[in-house]
Amino acid sequence: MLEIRGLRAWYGNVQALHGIDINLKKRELVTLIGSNGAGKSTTLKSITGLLKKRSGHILFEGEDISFYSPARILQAGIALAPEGRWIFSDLTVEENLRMGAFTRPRDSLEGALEEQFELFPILKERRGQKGGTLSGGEQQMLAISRALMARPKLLLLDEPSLGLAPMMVRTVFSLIKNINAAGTSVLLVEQNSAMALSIADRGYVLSTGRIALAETAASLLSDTKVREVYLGGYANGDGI
Amino acid sequence: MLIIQTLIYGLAQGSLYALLAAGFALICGILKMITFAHGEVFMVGAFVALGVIVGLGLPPAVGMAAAMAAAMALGVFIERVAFRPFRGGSSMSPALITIGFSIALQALVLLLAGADTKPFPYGGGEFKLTVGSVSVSGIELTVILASFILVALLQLFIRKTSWGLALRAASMHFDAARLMGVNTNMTVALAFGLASMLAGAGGLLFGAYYGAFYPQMGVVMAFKALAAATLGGITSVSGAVAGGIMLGVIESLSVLFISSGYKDIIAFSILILVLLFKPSGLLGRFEEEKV
Ligand SMILES: Nc1ncnc2c1ncn2[C@@H]1O[C@H](COP(=O)(O)OP(=O)(O)O)[C@@H](O)[C@H]1O
Ligand SMILES: [Mg+2]
Repeated sequence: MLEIRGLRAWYGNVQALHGIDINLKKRELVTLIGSNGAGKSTTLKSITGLLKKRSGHILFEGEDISFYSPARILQAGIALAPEGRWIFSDLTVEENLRMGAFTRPRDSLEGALEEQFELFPILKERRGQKGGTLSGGEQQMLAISRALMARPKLLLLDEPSLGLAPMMVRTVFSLIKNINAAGTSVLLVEQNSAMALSIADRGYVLSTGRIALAETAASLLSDTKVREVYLGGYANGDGI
Repeated sequence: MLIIQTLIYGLAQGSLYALLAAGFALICGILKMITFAHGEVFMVGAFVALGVIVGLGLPPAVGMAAAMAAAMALGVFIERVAFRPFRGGSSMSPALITIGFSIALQALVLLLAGADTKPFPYGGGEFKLTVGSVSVSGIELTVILASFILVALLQLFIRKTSWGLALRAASMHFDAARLMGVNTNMTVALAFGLASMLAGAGGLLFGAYYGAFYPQMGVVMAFKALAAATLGGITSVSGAVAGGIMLGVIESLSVLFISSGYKDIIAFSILILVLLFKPSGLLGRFEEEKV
């Protein structure tokens, strides 16, 4: 479904990605792990068209989307819940969600909203509240829900557990699992690698802009080297 | 009663500031950059209207439409050449380029229209609304009402339409708006277009109010409106509008109670005090930390 070939990306003159290849099949939940600064966010920003200075190919459902604008990529079926959530803090929860469906026909809006309110009852409760007044966990749900408003075929998630209390992390992860089970493919970027691998089908380990390992999640979890380098604090693997 | 009369003068002057201040808020809100050619957009709008009204002999309402259209075109052009190439970079280049525009546009209008101050063909004196000892002239009423309607229409647009939503979203988080599929180039152009339409209308209203059209008419107005926008909170349209009205009223009260020579000193002392104690302006919020 998603095929990335030889992706390189730059910030100014500094190269952040040195030719990476990633494949993701329909309905898969794939995780991209790696330490801080490895290039995970850069990869997602490249896929969504936010980052322009790059080379290589990005194919989605056989279509070359390498040079599409963010709007067209969204319309092709890829949505991102970015690192740091990027909530519109002075817009209400409902307006934030409406922004998520900005590229979609207006008559589908009410249905999509109802769907999201069913999936995230807390957002329905807070629908008239400003996005900036939500708690961290609620904002993360809003970011995910806003991405889902575009009814993506592929959902990209950048560190959805960042800054959340352990309880909330569990909630968010089981939610991701459910979204995937309901048929949306997911590319999950995480620093909380053990947790990510515990729900993923396959994983890629990114290291200073290169793919170091690509394995099934189970074998990455049992790989001692991966455990040492990336799973340190979570080595005792308390999954969901 | 003198005080009410004074407040009306202040309101008229303040609504002219408000028209420009709202534009500064739109532009600064989305780009976090300032234009120094906004006063000349105001002035060009005024002269285009004067040309249409005096030169072509068309009614003032047509002049107003022409002022807004010409100002909008000019504003969108300025965005295209002075801001878009420098998006995301230093705000120094746009500042310098718009200062260049400001000087060049004044020179151009001076060459085309001459240096003499031009009057407005419709006197404001025929109509007067008198209540007790307070009287409001037709032109004062026009300035206040027209500004009020324009600001209300602007608010309606940014609160109720999907383009308005996109504009507000992009002002809060530019990249997030891009991520949502908003055409941010269009949105920035829209902000400049709307800001410039208000400025153009403001130019005509100013010229009609004071019966004076001249190439430098936008200079002091723009600086004061920028100050007023800062006073109210530069990244919020309602804050900037409130700041404009406040500045006008403060000025007129200073004239009444102290003397007209001191009005600028008093107005700007208040501005500086407000900014010392509340840097985001009276109604503004502190910028969110962006992660
Ligand atoms: N806006 C930016 N400007 C310059 N360099 C950046 C920027 N964002 C990220 N980088 C650099 O690119 C590299 C990859 O960053 P990133 O993709 O954010 O890593 P990760 O998401 O894996 O933590 C890092 O070396 C980082 O310093
Ligand atoms: Mg990151």
